[in-house]
Amino acid sequence: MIKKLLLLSIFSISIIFTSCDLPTNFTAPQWDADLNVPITEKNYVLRDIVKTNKNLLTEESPLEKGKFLYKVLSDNYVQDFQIGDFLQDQLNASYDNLAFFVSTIDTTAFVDIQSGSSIDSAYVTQGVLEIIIDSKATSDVNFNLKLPGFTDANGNARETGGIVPANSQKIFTAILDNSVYSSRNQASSAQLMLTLKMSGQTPGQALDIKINIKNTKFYLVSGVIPTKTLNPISKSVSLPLTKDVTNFRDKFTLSNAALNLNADYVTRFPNSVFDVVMKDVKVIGKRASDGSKINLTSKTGNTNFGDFTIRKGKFFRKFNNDNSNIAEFLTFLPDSITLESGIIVNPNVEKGTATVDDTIRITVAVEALSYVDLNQLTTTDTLALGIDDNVRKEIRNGKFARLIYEITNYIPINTDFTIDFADGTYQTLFTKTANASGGQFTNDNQVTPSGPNPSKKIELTGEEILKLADAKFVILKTVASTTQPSRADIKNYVSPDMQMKIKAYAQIKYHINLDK
Amino acid sequence: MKRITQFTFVLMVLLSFPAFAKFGSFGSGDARTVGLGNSGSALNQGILGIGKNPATMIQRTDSSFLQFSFPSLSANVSTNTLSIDDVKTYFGGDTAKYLTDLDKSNLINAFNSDGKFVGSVNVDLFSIGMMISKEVGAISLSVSDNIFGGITLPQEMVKLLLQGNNVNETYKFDNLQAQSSYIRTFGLSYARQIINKKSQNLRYLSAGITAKYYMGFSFINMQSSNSSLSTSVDHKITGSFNGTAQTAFSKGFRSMNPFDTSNTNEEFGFSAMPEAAGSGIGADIGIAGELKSGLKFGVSITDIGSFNWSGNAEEHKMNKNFAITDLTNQGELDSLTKNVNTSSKSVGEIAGRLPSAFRIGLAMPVDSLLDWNSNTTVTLDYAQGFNDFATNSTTPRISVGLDIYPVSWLPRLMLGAGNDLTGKFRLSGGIGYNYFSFMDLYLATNDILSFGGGANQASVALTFLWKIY
Repeated sequence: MIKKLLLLSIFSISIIFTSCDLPTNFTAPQWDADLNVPITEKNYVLRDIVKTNKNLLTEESPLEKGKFLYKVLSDNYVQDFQIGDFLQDQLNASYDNLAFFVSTIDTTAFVDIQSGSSIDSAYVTQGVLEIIIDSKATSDVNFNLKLPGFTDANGNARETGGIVPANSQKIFTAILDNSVYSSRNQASSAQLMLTLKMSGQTPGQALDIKINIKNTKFYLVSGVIPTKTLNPISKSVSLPLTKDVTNFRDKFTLSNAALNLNADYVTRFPNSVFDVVMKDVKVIGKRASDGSKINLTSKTGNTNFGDFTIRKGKFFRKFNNDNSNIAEFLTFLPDSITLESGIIVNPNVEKGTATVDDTIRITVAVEALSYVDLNQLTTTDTLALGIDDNVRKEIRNGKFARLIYEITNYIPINTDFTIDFADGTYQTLFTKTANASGGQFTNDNQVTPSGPNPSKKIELTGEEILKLADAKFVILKTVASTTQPSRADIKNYVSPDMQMKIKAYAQIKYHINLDK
Repeated sequence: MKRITQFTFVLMVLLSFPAFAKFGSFGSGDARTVGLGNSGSALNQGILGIGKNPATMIQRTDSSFLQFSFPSLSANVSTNTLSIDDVKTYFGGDTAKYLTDLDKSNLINAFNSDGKFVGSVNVDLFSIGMMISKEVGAISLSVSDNIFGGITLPQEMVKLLLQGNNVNETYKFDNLQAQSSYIRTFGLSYARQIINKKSQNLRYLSAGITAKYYMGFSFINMQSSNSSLSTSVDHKITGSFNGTAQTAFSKGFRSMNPFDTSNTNEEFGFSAMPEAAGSGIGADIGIAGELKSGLKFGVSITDIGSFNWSGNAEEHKMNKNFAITDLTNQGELDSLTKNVNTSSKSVGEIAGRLPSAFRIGLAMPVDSLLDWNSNTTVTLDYAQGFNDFATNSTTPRISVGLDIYPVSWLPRLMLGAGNDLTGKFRLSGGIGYNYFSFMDLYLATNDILSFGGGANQASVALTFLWKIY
């Protein structure tokens, strides 16, 4: 019994001390927890995503009342060309073998303006009057010529003259630069008036005179100027297409687009401008990259749109689907638009005023309503993954992730996404794909949404999650195509009121390590 | 050396709790009581009766005139969740264990009744008792520190942590609690026999009383309500947390206040006599006696009185409702950490609760039944707390013990069994030595199953009792 008690005591002591038999080192366990987290639930209205600005407006559809569409309105692209040549040589005159006689009386002569102009007034910037006198007189003749229509800055008539020796030829010139011309001091605005004085000791003897007014140039001419055909123009308007925009080439069709062509006569005297005819107008789209061209044609396929008359300084023509192949033309997405035409000024020989600075300003603008067909429109964006190191560290604790998304899409565009996760050298680490079905057109041209079911998912394995933690860039490639209406008379459209609801949530197997 | 390290660790774990305690229906007592499974209140004698039944002070089996105890401490860490084997399995070693689904299931099941973690330390700083005579009585003076910390973790919180948030499931955290307190008790006890009639069935009956003065140094009582986290079928996460807390700290302990709003950056400072953050007065009263059959009995009510926390007393309320519907919404994420409705206000006093308890103890020698002169006594105790705080509980504690002391030169063997504060059944044991009649040494544990590692408790109690004749 005593032995038993002794053993019991020893056992008891052992118990007491071993009751503290805890581990010497404590290490927290690690495990994986399944987290279910909401990623997003948003209702995107296109109006909120695609904001309007001066180039993107909203406008009620001309086809359906109450339906609002986007209206793309380009900036105005401008090209000027001058019509100063129109004013060249309008006062030139040339008269040969006029016979005058030595006399004590002044002689007045009228000579026709060679161009046929009937000029009321003008400011001559340049011109020369040349008089060649072939004297038959046996004594010297004192010669003087005045041009009452041309005055200098002091109001004095331009004149020239001098002694013409007997039986000899003498040439006099009068510089007409910076002269003011007015027909008020003349009997007719269609003729130039000359006042000549030839005195000498042998009255009655003859002098043969040639008068030549040449190289007349004007800053301003007011009057009736005959029709003048200038050199044909070929003016190009460059469209500022970015590389992103050129990706749209041949991938979309605009069902309701227009190219607006404005031509304005720009002058300081807009109330008395001459009409201008742009003859045999052609509009040509050109791509800079390969030199390819497309002609804007009429509905009958004619590339010649005829004559456009800039009457009273204004002309406007809208090229749309009703009168041209504008949809095809714009789908071509030219880098520049070239306008080719002949130029005829004052076709009806009317009175007007022009200056040497007068220009014709051609303005091109494109507008399109969002009736659009997209055909495998591909865009690629490279986005930097702005994830800080702490988040990357957390990502590495992921073992598996499944992103489940449900899309209710009223926008009639099917979109396929290819998402490349790339390292700092843009080398793809792994790729995921996703897609969003577009809304479907009904027979009354409304849109029923796709989705939300079946829901779709993107899964990331543990290995991919580790790569995600190393990813620096996301290269997002989207391929978009509009859904096709079942009836040909229904046009695809994109309305700012369309919406897309996205709900996404994730199941994540997350590794928990309390020591980190 | 390893044992010393481990023992030190246990103490450090206990001291790492915000605060601690001794008393109450489940409080740790001296090592002899611990060895008997916290029974044996009727068997106690001398100063070992202090705190449980002052009437037993008068009981003596020796003729010592003066008794004092130094040192005497007991420490206990227990949980109703993980066994020490579990701790070794999941938390032991140099490398982290990867939890399989089965491991997680086992851990969650371990928190079936919500996980309760309690730790307590009782240190008798000073106890001295003097026996004048059984007629005149015995008096004693004691000072003890009672330190307690307890946390209740709802099972669903563990489930959420280990498994993640399942869809279409709500996790409720209503029962999240944390409590701690550090109270020092000064006791002046007196006991005497009031009946002494050996010729009759009742051999004697004694009565005792302890007048107590309490000083409190730290106090935290936090609990949640209406708190949950739900994940809907479409993965939206909603949750709410509502919590209230009461705190009081004396100077030097304020840095331990997790709800501190004073920004005083006061550092922790411990002194032997800290400034009190709370105080109260109370008393233990009891009677004890012995029948002719040898059955000893005792009835007592302990810690009757009042206690108030007043030092830096504050009440805190926390309220947070949140919903996560969109992780891409930065504002929503920010709102998780912002807009927590918290309010703290100073209050003059917080009515504290003394661990008032009712106790009955029986002790019966069974030598005659065993026909073996082994000096064996069977003990039975019933303790019923009047409130639920710290080591006191309205759940009754029923414990039995076996005290065996066959010969004086062998150690006294103590065995016991009973339920503990976490609701677990414990088998306890201990030994006692008597050296030349002037010193008793008791060493015990609350859970001898810890030997095999299958228990979820670490416990040790040590008591030196010195006697002068």
